[in-house]
Amino acid sequence: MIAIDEQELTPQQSEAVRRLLAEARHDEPMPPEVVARLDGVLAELREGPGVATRESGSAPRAAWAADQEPSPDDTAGSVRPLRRRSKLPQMMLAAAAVVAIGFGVTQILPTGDDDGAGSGDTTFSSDEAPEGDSADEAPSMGAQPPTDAEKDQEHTAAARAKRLIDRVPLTGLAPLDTGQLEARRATQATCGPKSLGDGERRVPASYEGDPAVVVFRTGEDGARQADVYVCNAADPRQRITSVPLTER
Amino acid sequence: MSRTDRELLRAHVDGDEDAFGELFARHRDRLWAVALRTMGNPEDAADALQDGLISAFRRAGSFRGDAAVTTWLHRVIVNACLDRMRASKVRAADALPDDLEGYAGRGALSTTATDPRPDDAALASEQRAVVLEALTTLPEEQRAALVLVDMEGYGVAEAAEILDCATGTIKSRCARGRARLAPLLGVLRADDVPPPPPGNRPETRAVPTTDPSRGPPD
Repeated sequence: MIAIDEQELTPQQSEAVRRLLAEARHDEPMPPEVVARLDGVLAELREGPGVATRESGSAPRAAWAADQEPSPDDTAGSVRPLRRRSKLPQMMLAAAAVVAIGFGVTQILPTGDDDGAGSGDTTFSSDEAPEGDSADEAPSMGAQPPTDAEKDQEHTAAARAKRLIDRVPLTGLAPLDTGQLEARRATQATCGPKSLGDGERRVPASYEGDPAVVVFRTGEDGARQADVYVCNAADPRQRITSVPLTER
Repeated sequence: MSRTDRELLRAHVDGDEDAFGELFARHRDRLWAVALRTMGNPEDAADALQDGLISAFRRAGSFRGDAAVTTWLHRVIVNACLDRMRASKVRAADALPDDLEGYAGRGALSTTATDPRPDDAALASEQRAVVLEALTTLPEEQRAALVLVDMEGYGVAEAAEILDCATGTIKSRCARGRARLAPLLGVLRADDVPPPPPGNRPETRAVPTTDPSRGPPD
């Protein structure tokens, strides 16, 4: 049996729908505020050090990017929404809060080899351990409250997370602060890829209010990019988008 | 003498700082229209357009030249829209108001109404609002196809290029999208639509398909 919304239309019915759609088309020019906003983004992109020419291959983009130490305000080309949305139903937030018991601080703590000389991405541990020995498979449910030293580490980790997340030009993506990190422990076990490859880093974040994970990796073209996963999506292991990192 | 789209894109890749802005300004109104109708509201459209702008700016070097620059630009923008919609799927419950079915009975959506009304402008505005609301209930691929073909007037072949799929897929998405919209827009109401003429259907049907559930052809 054909559902009512899938039944074949007569030519007249089809034409009627087409006419209604055509009448609803948008004929107005882009609003001035949007023009101004995009012009600003273009200006920021132009101010970047030779973005376009690097794309064309005059210099290895990945190598160039790896030499840059992102600053907390490194948001060139990042997205500035006209409005900040918090449409997520409260039920989802509550459910996420219940599920997200014990955020794995170890996911973002500095590693011992963090000398700050490499890519900004390398300041994060995460799934460095071989598969089968990762925090993914052993979420720290019900962990003890952090000590003062651990809190200091969390602050540092949050600052580093912010620097990385700020390099991802995706609207709605936001870093977590220290308090949010604590509330997001278990989400990493079920969100994002099960394991990470060499050079890949996982950083917790928030996407339009939803718990999210960003995996930083090197793309096939050699450029660093970020894969974004939304933890309460239908398939939290399916990335929702992949974007190149902002350069500066 | 103004440069062509292709020349502007090449100049951008070669380091001309003003070329991309000129190219984007040339097409921004239509890109805006597509983003607006695909996303359903100006805020999300602006966000998606910005995503696409950044992506196009950075990835201009990947343009292979086997399509028109404007087609490529549309593809980047539409992909940015689709990415955003997929990311927002968790909020999909918001997209279908409980009383949406009630729109099907609205006289304002009578597609064959010919009686003159004193408030035609208001009526048209209401019709448009209902159409746009109904459009948001479609799966994003169907919505994008209908926006390009039925709203913006692109041909099926160009829409297929923009959405990077086969023309048969576009036809199928359009047909299924229209079929989904029809009851929401009151098109299926017996008193709104005259009965089809007797005999075989004419060959002028816009997007014929024999098997809507089929995947894209090879």
